[in-house]
Amino acid sequence: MFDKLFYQEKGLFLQSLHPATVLVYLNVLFVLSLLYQNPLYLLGLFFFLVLLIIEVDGMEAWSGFLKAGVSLMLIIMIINPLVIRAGATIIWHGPELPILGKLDISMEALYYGAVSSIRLLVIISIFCLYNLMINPDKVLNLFSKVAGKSVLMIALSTRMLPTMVRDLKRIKEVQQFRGVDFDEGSLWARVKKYSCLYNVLLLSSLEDSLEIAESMQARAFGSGKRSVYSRNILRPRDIICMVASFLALFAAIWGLQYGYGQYTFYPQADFLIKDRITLTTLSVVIFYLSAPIILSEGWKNCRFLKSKI
Amino acid sequence: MGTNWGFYTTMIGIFSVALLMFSMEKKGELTARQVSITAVLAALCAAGRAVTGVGLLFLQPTMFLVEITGFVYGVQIGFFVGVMTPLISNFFMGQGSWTPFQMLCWGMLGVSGAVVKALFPGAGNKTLTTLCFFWGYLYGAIMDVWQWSVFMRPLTFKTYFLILAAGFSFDSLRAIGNLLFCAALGYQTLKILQYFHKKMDIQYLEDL
Amino acid sequence: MPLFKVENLTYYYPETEKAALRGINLEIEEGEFILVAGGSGSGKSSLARVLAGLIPDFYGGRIGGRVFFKGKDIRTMDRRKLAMEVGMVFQDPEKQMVQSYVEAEIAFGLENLGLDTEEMSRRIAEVISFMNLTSIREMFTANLSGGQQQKLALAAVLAMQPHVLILDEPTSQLDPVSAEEILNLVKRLNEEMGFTVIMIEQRLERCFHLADRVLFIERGEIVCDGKAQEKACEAIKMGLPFVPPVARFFADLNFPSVPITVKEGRKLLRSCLRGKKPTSKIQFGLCRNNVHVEDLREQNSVVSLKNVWFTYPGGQEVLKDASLDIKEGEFVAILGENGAGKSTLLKHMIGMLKPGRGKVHVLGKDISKNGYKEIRRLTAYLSQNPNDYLFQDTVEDELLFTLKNFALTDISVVDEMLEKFHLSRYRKTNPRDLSSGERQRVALASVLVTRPRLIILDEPTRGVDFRLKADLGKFLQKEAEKGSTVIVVTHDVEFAAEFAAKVAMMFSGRIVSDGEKHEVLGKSIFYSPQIGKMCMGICEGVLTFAEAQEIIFPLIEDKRTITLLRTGENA
Repeated sequence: MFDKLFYQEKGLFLQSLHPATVLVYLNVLFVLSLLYQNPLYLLGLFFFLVLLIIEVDGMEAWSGFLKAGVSLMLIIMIINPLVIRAGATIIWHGPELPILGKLDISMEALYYGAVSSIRLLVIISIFCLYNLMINPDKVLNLFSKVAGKSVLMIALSTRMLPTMVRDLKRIKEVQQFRGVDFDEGSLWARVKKYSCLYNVLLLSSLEDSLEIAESMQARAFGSGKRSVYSRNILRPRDIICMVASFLALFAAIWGLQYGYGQYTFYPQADFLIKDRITLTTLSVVIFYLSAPIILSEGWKNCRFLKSKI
Repeated sequence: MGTNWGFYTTMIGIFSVALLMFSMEKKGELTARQVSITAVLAALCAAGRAVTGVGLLFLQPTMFLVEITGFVYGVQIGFFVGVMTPLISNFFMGQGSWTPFQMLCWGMLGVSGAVVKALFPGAGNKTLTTLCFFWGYLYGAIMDVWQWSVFMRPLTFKTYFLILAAGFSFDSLRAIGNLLFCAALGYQTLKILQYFHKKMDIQYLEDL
Repeated sequence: MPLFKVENLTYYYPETEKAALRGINLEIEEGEFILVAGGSGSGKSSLARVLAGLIPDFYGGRIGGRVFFKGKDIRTMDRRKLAMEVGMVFQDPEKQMVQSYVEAEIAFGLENLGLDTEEMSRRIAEVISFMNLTSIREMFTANLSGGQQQKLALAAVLAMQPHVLILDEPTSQLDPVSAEEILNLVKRLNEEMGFTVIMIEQRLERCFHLADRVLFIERGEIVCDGKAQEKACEAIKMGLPFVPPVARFFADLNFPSVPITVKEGRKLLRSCLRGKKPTSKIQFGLCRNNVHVEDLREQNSVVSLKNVWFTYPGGQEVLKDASLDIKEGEFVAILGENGAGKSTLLKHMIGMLKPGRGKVHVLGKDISKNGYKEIRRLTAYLSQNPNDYLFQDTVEDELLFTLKNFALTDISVVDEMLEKFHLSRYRKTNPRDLSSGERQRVALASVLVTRPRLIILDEPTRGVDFRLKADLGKFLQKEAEKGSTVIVVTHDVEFAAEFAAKVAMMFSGRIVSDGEKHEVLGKSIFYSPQIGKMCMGICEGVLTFAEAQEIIFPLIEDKRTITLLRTGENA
């Protein structure tokens, strides 16, 4: 663990996109997940994201992400009904509680809690996708022009983390052989033991940092204005995906103007499907969003398309 | 339900981190030594957060280090070490919507160390330990704002406090962890960082 | 006009009273390949840093005298211009990587020079193909092996297209194969592309012959400067150990001009012996180590691994049916290439890893079941990096820390250890203020205070100079004679041949060869020390300098032979 980045290069189509494209695309998804209130729309996004995750071969990573989200989901599901008094359909009249007041659980509040958890799932999936699709180094490279030194520090730090973890393990072994038992004693005693470990690492790392600085200095660091080397290439596929993302965003905003995607929970929950346009809007948005999936499938199966994008 | 606060808080989080990082970078030209020391400390904090965090009940054993870095090396380095800690460790554990807010918190933690230095230049490990203890809770409080604004309706103090209460035991654990670590390690760390601070600054040149 | 001209250079690091460099005068011509040799702390690294412009720019301190580069005073030169002309590669590959991806790392220096994208792409492409880095172009730098990282560090410097290349012990942290690769590259750069090369090296057997000129530095002064072949003799007369074994061998025989490569050495040795075949088999018995091993045949086994298999959780099978038996009082070196499973084997011996299948017994305890706690009181383990041991405020406290952890109350052992490792005067010094050789001694002392019966060392000779290496080797030999068992995992064939009694060779997770060192190393072509390579086929079974002296000297030190040779040469 920690010896490789979460992101793994698998040579997939979706990983070959320009980082800016992926950022735009995922941000559109993220914004939509925050703007949409309608459970149907959120569900639609959710199922769409599952497709995308399958496309980047990320079911394993995704399950890890979902596990991390479960506790948060539970909190949301429990707290919402406890505090919301706006619901009209009361299903349980509870007792009087000191701070919370009268505990009345309403159907609508439960409903809202459930919908919020779907939103949570959607957001978690988007970030899972982010971790699977973009090489962090390429994103950083994107920001080099604006904040070169920050990006450099982040890159250096990322590069060093696996070394640190390795050193930490080795130092721990050394200390164990010098008679330190890390898994014995009270919490305070254990913290004391870890403190030795940490002192060694701190001292060694700070000493190393001077050597790294020297190597940077020898390669003319700080000798004047820096330029930026960009390794990212923009292909037709990026333009298509970028345009499609913006179209999806516009379609969604247009829909929201007219209330498609909005939803009221209190006092009584709205209709899930008001009219046919509700569904049409959703399908249009999803259609635009599926541009990368369509291209990815085409790239895999159609040689002509592969040579053109 | 008209105003979508979840959207706004997220955007505020992202933009304030970006803006802060940008302005901190422009605050002064960083030398090779400063860049490498910042990166090394951030990697150390991130590794500590990732590894010993798991072994020690997620006590976030490196919060005090960020604070002391700010105290010794000043606002700029303190901020960067802080901001980078969650970012770097998340490169290995997975980024999420929590990243910008975490970055903000840790960055402010580094800045708070520098502020202590400015207000009480003679402050010792006790002051830092106390501050670190409170940061355990403050961190939880700030992190909950995002959760609350995105997933809770209505957005009242009551719902916020409930979320806070739900995470109280966790936050306490973190605060106590901070207290323990800072008490146990703070003094040593302060000494070590100051020693290297001296090494970093001595640049006198004399002709024989 | 010389490329570099150093006039009366003296330098003090900040806050020090001792001069790192004293009255250096030096001229370096374009296209030269200069080897700088000397002990650790002799000032050779400081000299390299002066030439690269890092001293005094980066270090501060006090400096006297002048350094000219192409006729211009180096201190008035623009830093960017200097960096474009002079590139420097450092010792530790891990501490030169700045970026997280290979291509970005190569671009780093170019970005600092402020070049435009087109120029950068061209240079990066060129360097990647010249250095054959295409296969790792997209890799995460932290996951590269040490050899790959050092190659990358060299590539990153070459991309800046300097004319002078300064290398500070570029191979000291690498395994022999990677080291050879780096040295060959450097040689090509010098011969085919006209680079001026200034290289500092410890393992002289690898590179002495590459240099046009050798500089010996001691205590901050240049004590010897000239052609490699000519100066080798002089250096030995001055008592400097920094000469490769082959040259040392012939210099001791008072040859006027000594060979510096194995090839020349063999030729000369053949002509000296003139058909006299040393009866090596009989003389074998004379070697002290051999006798020692024979005596101990019946001893108890201290470390025994039986059919050990191990697979990492990632699915990588590292140990495949490895068996090894080490008896009490033996000094064993474990050799093998990178990734052969040496470190994994070592982790099994100290109980940090548990075998998937098989048994590991150490000091009579079954540690494949119970782990390291059973044996650590009686086992000393020294990791690759002595810094891992140093965190107390004084050297004394380091030793006391271990004693306290094992609840040992006999404090007198501290004095004894400090005395033994010549550390008494540093008793109250912060170990982090010591030199690397001294640090290693402190680390060793801190694990030996428990009077262990088993001493295990992981790569103890990495980055350690000639003299310190010999000190360490002799110390370990003495410990083994006293009855402790010593196991050293190393890349360093010269060290293993010189000091160990037994050698085990690993390849791909298996122990492929294991036995008395003459049996194992004498048969090997690649894993053989320089003297061994020279004597192979001429005088079988000779591995070390001492053995060569014992067996071959009497044959050659026939005055007539040498006079004959000398007259022959003169004619």
